[in-house]
Amino acid sequence: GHPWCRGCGGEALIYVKLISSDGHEFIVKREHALTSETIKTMLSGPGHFAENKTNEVNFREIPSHVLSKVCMYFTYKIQYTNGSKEIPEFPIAPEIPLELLMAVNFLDC
Amino acid sequence: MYLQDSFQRRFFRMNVQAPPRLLELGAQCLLRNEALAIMALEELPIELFPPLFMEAFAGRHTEALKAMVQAWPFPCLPLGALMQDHQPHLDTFQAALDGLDVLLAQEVRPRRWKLQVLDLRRKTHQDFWTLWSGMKVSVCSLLEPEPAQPMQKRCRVEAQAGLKPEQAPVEVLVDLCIKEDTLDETLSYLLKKAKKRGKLLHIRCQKLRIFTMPMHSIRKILKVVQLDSIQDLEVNCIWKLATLSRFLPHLGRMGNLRRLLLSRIHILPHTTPDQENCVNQLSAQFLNLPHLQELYLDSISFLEGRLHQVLRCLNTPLETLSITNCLISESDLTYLSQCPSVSLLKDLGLSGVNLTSLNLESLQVLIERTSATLQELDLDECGIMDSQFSALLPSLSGCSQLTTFSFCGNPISMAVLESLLHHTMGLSKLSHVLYPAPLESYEDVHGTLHLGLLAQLHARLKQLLCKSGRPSMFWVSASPCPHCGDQILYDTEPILCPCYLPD
Repeated sequence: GHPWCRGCGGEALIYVKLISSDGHEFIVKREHALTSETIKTMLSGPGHFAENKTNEVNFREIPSHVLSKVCMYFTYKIQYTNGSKEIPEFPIAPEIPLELLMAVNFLDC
Repeated sequence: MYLQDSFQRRFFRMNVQAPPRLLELGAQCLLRNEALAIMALEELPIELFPPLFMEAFAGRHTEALKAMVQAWPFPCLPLGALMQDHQPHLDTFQAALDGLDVLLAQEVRPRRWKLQVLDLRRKTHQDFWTLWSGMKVSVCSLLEPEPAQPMQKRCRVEAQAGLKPEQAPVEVLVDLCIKEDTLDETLSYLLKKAKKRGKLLHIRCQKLRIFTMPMHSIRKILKVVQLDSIQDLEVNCIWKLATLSRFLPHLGRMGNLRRLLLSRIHILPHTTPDQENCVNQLSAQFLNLPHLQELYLDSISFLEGRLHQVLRCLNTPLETLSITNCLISESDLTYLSQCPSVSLLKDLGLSGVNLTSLNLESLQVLIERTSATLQELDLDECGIMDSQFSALLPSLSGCSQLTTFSFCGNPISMAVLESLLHHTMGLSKLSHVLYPAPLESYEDVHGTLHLGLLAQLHARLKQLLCKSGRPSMFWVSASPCPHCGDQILYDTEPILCPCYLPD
C-alpha cells in the first residue's frame, strides 16, 4: 500500500498527490485539494480520469513554484472559511501572478 | 457611495466568512504592478479578461483599465452592469472611455481588435460578470450584444454594409435621462468623446427621458446621439409650443421610435398663425415615425379642437393611445372614432379628460371599433355621468379581449354599476375592474365618503359577481383620500391611505 494513505481497498484516501510539470510532488489533504473545482471533478468523476484510481494528478503545465502556492492557498482557504478569526492577507510574490492566474484559470479556485 | 471593494469581496463580507478566491487574489496581485499587468495582456487567456477587468475597475487601476479596453477580446464590453449599484469614480469611467478613444485613434485597425459595442446600460448583461468571475462557461453564448429589434439590426447592417470593415464604428449603448442644467460628469465625458470621434463612435440610446433643460443644451446632446436608435422617448418639460418647434426636427429623425410621451406643452391663450404652424409641424413629424406604437399626450393645452390636426399624419396603427389631463371637444371625439390609426388599439386611456358635457356617442363608436383588440381601458376622472355611462355599456360588452377596466372618479350610481356588472359578465378575460365608490356611498351634501355604506355596496357587488359565476374577478373600489387626495383602495377591507394611519 501507499505509505501516505490511511488504508487502501475501499476506504477513502485522505491524501492526494499533485505533480507539477517539473516533476515535484505535492502531497495534500484530499479535502483541501477539492477547493479546486477541476480537481474535484477529476477525482470524483465516474472513472473517466486515470487520476481517479491512483489519487494522483499530473499537471503538465503548472510549474512547481506555482503549484506550491496553490497548495498553500488550499490550506489558507480551509483554515479561514467559516471561522471567526480575522482573515489575514494571502501573500503572493510579485513574480508569479500571471502564471498563477493561468493555473487558477484551469483549476477554477 | 463609491465602489471600494470588488464584487466578490463585498459578497463575502455580507455572507459567511470566507477568504476570497485565488483568482481574485491573483488578479489583485497582478494589478499591483500595472506595467506588468499591461504587458501580460498579450498572453492572457480571454477567460481571464473579465475577472481582471472587474478587479481593475474596483481597484481604480486606470492605466490597466485603459489597456484592457483596447485589448478586450469580446465584441461587447458590458460596462454598465459593473456600474449599476453605484456611480463609478469619474477617473475609472474616464479611463475606460480613454481606452476606447485610443482604439479609435488608430488609423489601421489591428486584427485583434474585437470590441464593437460598449454597453453602458445598467440593467443589461447582468450575468456576464458574475458568470465569468465564478465559473468557466462556453465563450460564445454570453458575448453577443443584447438582441436588437429586428428593424434596428437591419438598419445597422445596411449602414455598415457600405463601409469598409475597418471603418465600422464602435457603438456605445446607453439609456439617457437628461435633466436640470448640469449634466452628470460621466455623461459629459462620454459626449465629449463622441463629439471628438464623430463617425467612429456612435452613441445608441434606446430610452431617452428629457426633463426640464434648456433647449440649446438638449440639442447639443441630440447632435451626438444616433437618433435612429431611440425607441422610447419621454418629454416631460414645461415647454411653450415655440420651444417644442425647435425640438421637432430632431423628433423627425427618430425613425425607429416606438413609444412617445409628450407632457406639459402649453400654448398661449390666443392662437396666432405661428402657433398653428407649430401644431402642423408637430403633426407632420408623425409621417417620419412609421413604427410608432404607443402615444401618450399628457397635459397638452393646444389639443382641444385640434386632435384631427395633430393625429392626421399618423400612418401606422397604434397599440396604445393615452390622452390625459387635457380638454377635448366633441369634434375631437368624433375624429377619434373615425381615425384610421386606432382600429387596432389594445390600450385606450382618457383619464383626466373631462367628458361631462360631451355627447359620448363617438366614444361608444370608438369602443365598438376597437372591441376586437382592446385590452385596457382607462376612464378615470372623466366626470362621466350615469346616462352617459349607460350608453357605453353595450359596446363594452363586446370587448372580448378586455382585461382591465378602470373608471374611478366618475359620479356613477349603484344601479349603473350593477348594470355594468351584467354587461361584462361574459368577458372571460376581464380580471381587474377599478370602480368609483358609487354615489350612494356618499353621505350628506358635502359628499363625505361613508366607509360603512361603501362596504355594504361593495359586498353587494361581490355577491352579484359570485352569483354570476365570476367570483375571482377583482373589483376594487378606489376613491381619493379626503386628506391628501391619494387613492384609497377598497376591497373587502379598506386599504387606507398612509395619512390615515397613526404615526
